[in-house]
Order: sequence, then C-alpha cells, then structure tokens
Amino acid sequence: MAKTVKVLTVCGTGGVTSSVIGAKVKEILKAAGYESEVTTCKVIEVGTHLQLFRPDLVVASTPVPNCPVPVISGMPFLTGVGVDRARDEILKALGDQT
Amino acid sequence: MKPAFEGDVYLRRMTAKTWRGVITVAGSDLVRLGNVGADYVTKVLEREASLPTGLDLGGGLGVAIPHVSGVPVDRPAVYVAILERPVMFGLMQAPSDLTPVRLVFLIAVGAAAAHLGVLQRVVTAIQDREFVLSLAASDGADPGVVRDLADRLGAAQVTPLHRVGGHTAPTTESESA
Repeated sequence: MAKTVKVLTVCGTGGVTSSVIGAKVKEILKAAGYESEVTTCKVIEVGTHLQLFRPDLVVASTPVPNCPVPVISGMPFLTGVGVDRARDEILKALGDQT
Repeated sequence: MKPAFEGDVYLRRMTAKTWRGVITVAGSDLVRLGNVGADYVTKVLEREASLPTGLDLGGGLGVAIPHVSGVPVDRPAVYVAILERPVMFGLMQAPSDLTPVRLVFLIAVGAAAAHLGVLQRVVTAIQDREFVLSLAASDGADPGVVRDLADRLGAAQVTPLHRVGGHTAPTTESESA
C-alpha cells in the first residue's frame, strides 16, 4: 500500500477555486501511485490547517507567505499552462520528503 | 459526467476601461435581470480588489473569473463579458501584478457545490485556447459561438444580452477608476 500524502489546496475566498485545484492534484497523485488526502481552505486559514491537518505539501492559487512545507503554484491547473511542470514539482517535492 | 448548470448564462460584448468598470456593468445587468442583489456586486468588487482573479493564459491572453463564495444569489448565473479592448486585472497568484484580460466570466452562484461544478466547467473551457480566441473575437451573438459556450458550460442556453429588449446598462464612462 502506498503512503498516503496530505495536500492542502489554497485559494482566496475559500473552497471553490481550491476545490478545482484539489481535484486535479488528486488525479495527478493517483496516476503517480499515491493515495492522497486533500483538504481545501482559504488563504487566511492556512496557519490553522498547517497545525491541524499537517499537510506534506501546499498547492495554492494565491501567495502563501512563511509556509514551512513546500508551496507549489496551482495556477497551471486553472490556466492549463505549465501543467506538466507543476506535476513534476509536486512529485519532486513529495519524493524529497519520502 | 458533471451535472449540468441550471442557472442563466449571459453573453455580452462591451467596452470598459477598468476591471471595476467591467464588474460594475456586468453586475448591474445581473441586478436588472433579477439574478443578484446590489450587495452581491459590492462583494465581488471588494473581493476582486483584495484577491484578484486574473489568469494569464500565456502570449498576452488573459481571462478573469470574478466570484465570491457564501453570498446568496436569487438565481445562479454566469455572465460572460467579451472585452472590446483588453482590460487590466490583477493576477490571482500575484495580486500586485496585472494581466491584460479579453474575457471575463463573472460567476454568480450561491451554494458551494453548484459553484464548484460550473467553475470546473469554466476552467476546462478556458484551457482550450482555440475556444478562448474564437469567443474573444466574436460579436457576442454569433449562433455557433453561443451554442459552443452553452455546451461547454452545460447550460440549456446562452442569452446574448444586447438582444434583450434593446436595453442594457451603460457600457462606458460610468466606471470609477
């Protein structure tokens, strides 16, 4: 059984844009053989979720300052531009940790 | 299969100078058509000011997807504005940077679940560059373009706004800077 990775997806006002990004990230992780748990939140809630959810990775559509875990831009999953690179960044960030 | 979008979809080609102008014109149309209250438009303007929704599709082509969560609407709607000339919107991932926007999808839906479905459809649609370019170049009434937009958003129909009783809100010079 693969390790379950935890991803926090973040957007501006909470749960909508971040859900779109989260769905794509989940697809990518599944294709790469990861089990994943994805939680979405708005940017002002990141601190709380870092403590309670303890994500391995943050994928965000807005800037997330002072984040102790890797932050990957979720923009490619909205624009379609640079999706392959974003996928590589996500898998690399997880690979570095496991 | 994603659920169909059961709200209204409007399409209007317009001229505006600022993002506030675009949202104000689109918002007044939505208020006039009975989809949202004036407070909804205020909330969208507030959100766009602090957390902009401009997306850079590359090569100088941008779209914006203004929306707010958790503010009730009377009848869900997606309002698509084709901008005669590009208007600068803040970038979602870097709010202080601007991107020239040709198409705006103002997404006015109340419940989060419904919102998510239609936003996914909008996101899928804008990733098709050919579609974005053909919509941006259209007059907002071309039957082929209108049908294509309706199909992509899962809507029964799209209402081109300049056909509604010949009356629309002022398109220019009514905006704040």
